Amino acid sequence: MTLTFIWTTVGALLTLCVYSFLYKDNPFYKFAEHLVVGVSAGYYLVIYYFNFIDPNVVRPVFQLELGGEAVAFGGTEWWMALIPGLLGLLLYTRFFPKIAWVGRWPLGIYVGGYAGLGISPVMQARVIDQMQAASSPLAGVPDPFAAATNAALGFAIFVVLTYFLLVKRHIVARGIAMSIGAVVLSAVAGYGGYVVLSALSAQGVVSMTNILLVVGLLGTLAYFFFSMRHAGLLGGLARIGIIFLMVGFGASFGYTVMSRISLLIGRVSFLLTDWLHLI
Amino acid sequence: MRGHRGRSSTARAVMGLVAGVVSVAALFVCPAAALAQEETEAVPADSLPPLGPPTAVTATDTPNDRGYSINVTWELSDGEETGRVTSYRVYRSAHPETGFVFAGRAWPGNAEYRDGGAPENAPTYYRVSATDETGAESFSATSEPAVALPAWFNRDRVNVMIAVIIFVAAIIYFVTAARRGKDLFIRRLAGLDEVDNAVGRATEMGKPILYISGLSTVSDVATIAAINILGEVAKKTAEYNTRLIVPCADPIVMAVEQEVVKEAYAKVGRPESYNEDDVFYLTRSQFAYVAGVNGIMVRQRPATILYMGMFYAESLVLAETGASVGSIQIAGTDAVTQLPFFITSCDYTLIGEELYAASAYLSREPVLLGGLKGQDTLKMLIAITIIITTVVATLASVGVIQYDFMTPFLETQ
Repeated sequence: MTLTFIWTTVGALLTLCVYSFLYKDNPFYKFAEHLVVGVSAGYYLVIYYFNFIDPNVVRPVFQLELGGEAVAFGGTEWWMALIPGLLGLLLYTRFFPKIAWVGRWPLGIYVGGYAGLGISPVMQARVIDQMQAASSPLAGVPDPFAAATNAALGFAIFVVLTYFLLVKRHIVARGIAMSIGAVVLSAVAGYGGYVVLSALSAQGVVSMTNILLVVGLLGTLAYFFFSMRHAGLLGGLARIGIIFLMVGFGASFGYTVMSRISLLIGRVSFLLTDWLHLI
Repeated sequence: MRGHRGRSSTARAVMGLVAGVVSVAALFVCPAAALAQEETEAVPADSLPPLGPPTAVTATDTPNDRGYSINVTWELSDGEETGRVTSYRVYRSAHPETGFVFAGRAWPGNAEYRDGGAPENAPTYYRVSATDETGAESFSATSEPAVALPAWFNRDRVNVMIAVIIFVAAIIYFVTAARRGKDLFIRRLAGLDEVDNAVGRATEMGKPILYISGLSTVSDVATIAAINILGEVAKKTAEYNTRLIVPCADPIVMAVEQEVVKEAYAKVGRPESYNEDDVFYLTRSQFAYVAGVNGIMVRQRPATILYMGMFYAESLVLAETGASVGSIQIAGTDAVTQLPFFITSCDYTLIGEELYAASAYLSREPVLLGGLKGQDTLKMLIAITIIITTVVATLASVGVIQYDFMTPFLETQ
């Protein structure tokens, strides 16, 4: 029995302990939970020390070497490392009620500093760059996603028209023949829409992808207006926006579920291959 | 007759097979022969004259940067014409004659390189070599020295500065207006209307409220929003005398949240009800944190669970466990990939920026309301700008106007 097998068995048993939670809370799960929480908390304590405190405070202050080179704290004086070090120490004043208020200073500097430093990059990456990417011509350009966009729009015409005729116009209540006729009519309209859009896209008359992008973007922006009542034009745009959001979330949901299934497969593979050698 | 036809077809088949094999062999042999001939005719590499070196090497400080960067340019080697240059190697030194170290390389045809490892505030000299297929290098003359200095002002981001000024001005204006008593409207947010009901439900059931502010740090905007919301939730739990449990994944976030909750309890006049042990650090490890929170859920069985902040792959595991113990769940995050999971498994979900609006909505404080109104103003300007730039880009694309004059305003480096 090799050491590898022992540790693989420990990992496999802990995996089974965690999966036992699927049945209900039980002592095996509690054991695994407390073990992983405790081990990870201790592990991160060490990580914090060696990744942050040691290279940023201890080595610069005591002029120790890191990787064969003397540490220069950002190319400036060694004593500058004392400033964040002292601010960090001030956090511990919370253990002394009489001076606990001092602990708010480093927190204020930390939160305020990050918020202030974040404004410019966020404005650039999440606003200006996105605006530039969204400013696309709606016509006169080849549409690389024309086939998929037009097919999706043709299908959408079919679905919406079918729903409108069968449900809103109560055709479904008038018999099977009428209903089939309505569905066929919707299918013809959907296919016709697809053909027309394809022809227009091919000639560069419209770029349906860019039109969808701009309409979806403006609709989504309208949804996130908080200081105006969602009524009239704004209400209509916001409704379009929430549809786009939900379509996006649906796609993201499906995509992410697939990746989670692959995680499960990986774990089952560990149990059956690495541990039991069945595969 | 049949036999003759059979022999004939067999013979044709054999001949066809032989012809096919010969043809295929020819495909391989002919190019190989041609290549061999080329090789015999080719001039040995070591007998070729050395490459002409790159000329006119210049080094200048990279503009609009934060230092440690120098732009090096040169004129291409004459070996480019015969295709013998395999790369250009750039060397730097603090002295014009000695101590040159390799800084980086550029591909053939490129006559510039940005050295991002230059020492700051010190004269640096450069040499560039053209390298051929044998590895032989032909060095240029040493450039004039350049000094890498940080720029105080990044002219490539003037548009960002203008946007920030407009944004901050709008916020200051609306905050001032709100302080003067101007009534600022906020549309209804269903998820936040339910916070009161959720706290009331927990009080009636005699069960705690679990507040999870995600796994991110204080540097994340979503975490800051979550901390603001926690303050408002804590005021309500203090009023109703309901227990509030806040497991934290980051020590700094824990320290801030302890302060926020403590202050909220003091504000409503119940400082004695605050229990510091209910706002505690669990672990930084993602799934260890999930395991710990899941344990709290199944053992404490909270009546209400609030998920506010930045979440990653743990979102669905948490929300599913919360749903299984029968809690009312309200989530809010700007993590686009996690929102679908909260939407499917929680009772109410705050989508993206609704999370940022939540603290203003709950507290109705003038400062926060003014900030929200300022954000809406920026959104309005963004929408108008996008409409204008789209129209201009379309007109330029179909040829009505000569060029798209709006897009350069949105370019950043």
